[in-house]
Amino acid sequence: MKRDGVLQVLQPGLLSALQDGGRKGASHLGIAPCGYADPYAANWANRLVENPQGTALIEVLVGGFSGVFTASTSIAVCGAVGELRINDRVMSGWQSHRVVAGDRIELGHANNGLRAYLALAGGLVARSSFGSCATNTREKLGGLLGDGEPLKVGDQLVSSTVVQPFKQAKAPRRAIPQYPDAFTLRFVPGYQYAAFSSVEVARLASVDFSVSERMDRMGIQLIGNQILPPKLSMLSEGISYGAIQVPPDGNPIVMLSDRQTIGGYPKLGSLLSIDAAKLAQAKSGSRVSLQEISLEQAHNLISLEQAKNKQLMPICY
Amino acid sequence: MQSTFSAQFDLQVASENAFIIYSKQDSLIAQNQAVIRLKESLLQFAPPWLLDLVPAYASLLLSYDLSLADRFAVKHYLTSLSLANETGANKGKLVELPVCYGFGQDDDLIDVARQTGLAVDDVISLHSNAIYQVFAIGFAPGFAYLGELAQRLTLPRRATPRQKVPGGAVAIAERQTAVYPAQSPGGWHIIGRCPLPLFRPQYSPPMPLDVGDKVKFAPISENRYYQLTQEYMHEA
Repeated sequence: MKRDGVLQVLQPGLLSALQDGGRKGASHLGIAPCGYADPYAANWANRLVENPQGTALIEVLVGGFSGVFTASTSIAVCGAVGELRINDRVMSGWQSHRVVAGDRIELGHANNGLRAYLALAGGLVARSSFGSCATNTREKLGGLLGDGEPLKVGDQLVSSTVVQPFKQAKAPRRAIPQYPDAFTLRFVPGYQYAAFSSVEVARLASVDFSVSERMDRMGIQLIGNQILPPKLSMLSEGISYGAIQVPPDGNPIVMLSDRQTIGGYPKLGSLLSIDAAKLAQAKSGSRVSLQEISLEQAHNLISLEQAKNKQLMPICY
Repeated sequence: MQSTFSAQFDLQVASENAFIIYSKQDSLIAQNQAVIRLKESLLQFAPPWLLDLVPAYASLLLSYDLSLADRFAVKHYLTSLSLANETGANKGKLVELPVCYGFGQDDDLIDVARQTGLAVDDVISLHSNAIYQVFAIGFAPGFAYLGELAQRLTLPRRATPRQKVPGGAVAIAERQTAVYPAQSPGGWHIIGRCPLPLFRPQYSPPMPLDVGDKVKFAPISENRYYQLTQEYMHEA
């Protein structure tokens, strides 16, 4: 399989970094799973250029990314897509496009949502750590050179170019999320839920929170109403994806893909994975409410979502 | 003697596709050993739905693939396990870590001596005469929580954490000790430096320690520290 230089970064914008399906099975070493903050959008981008799910691509935070292609390929941008231009022509997100060497891409700031995913046919090739090139700056793993660095001006991205006829494809309208600035987060109670007082649990169900500015790929703090955590002397324990931690200050923190693998704050349970990914697209200031669901309801919702996604096929033309 | 899973562990929901399992043993060491034995059993029989296992202190976080099994199947599998109930030693290996006590500029050894009311030599011998259990690995790749530290060395975390704890720093806090595998912020008290690399992503295995292993610290001189650092640098 040939490996070609395919894209040179002109401007990385606020933060652009390589992400893929994440590091699996390395959490016993203290290594965060990482991977796409919004797997739904990332995998749509991959799908539109016929990449397998989990293929490495560029995760762009907010926007401001620009680059110039150094080889022909097909691309797609999904997620929170700002104004997308190829050679100054405005193009659509959630749709595949053909590019040739010399073509310039510019991705503006998204109005709604937070992260966009730029996939190239054949995927991006980078130094792999524990089976993944997902960028984790804190742990110094992943990224182009395996040192955890996000993309910089002048970075040359390489793709394992697969020569295939370009297929024009786009996501059906129904598949494209709206990224509202107010929504409900469903969670499955667990961990130390039983130790929280019933008063606090009732409050949790009746108040709203705002997404704080203290938010990143590790975790998102919810502010506006404090939840009193139980006074427990806790040993550190494994933290699942979407876990809702409540530190002494009472502001819940939802733990996401770059989270520390273990921690000692009391937890209410974990967000439904679908809603954790929605939260990963929420700008600070978004209003959210927490809704408790049963484990059974969670499994039903996931099955439903999977069935729905299976039905949503790219429209080829 | 065999006993049931339910006799030894509490099972709790952690998320839509994870359970957290708590050991019911009555000492931290026994709890940790029980958790490690459970982890080993699960890895040995490797059910296809098993995604990830995170052992830490007295618990094991188990995540499973929802497309391969539902919560009933996983719970049934776990509660049907017949587990050995001995609280004796398990397969963990003993690892010796060289440490140069009181090394370098970022060092709290004298401060620790003052705060605990002990002579510096006593701090060193209390720290190095013990055999520690690796209770958990987390916070950063390769960061192993070792316990339990001698009661007389117990100090709360520093009021103001350091922005930069150097890689290799040997530190203590509460009833725990650890070696920072790489530079990071940290609030523990630094009492020495270890020349052994604790986390090398490109190696197999990437770290010399596993949860359930035992660790002993061996005091070395500054010269020996530099010698070992050179050796490991050339090896890399």
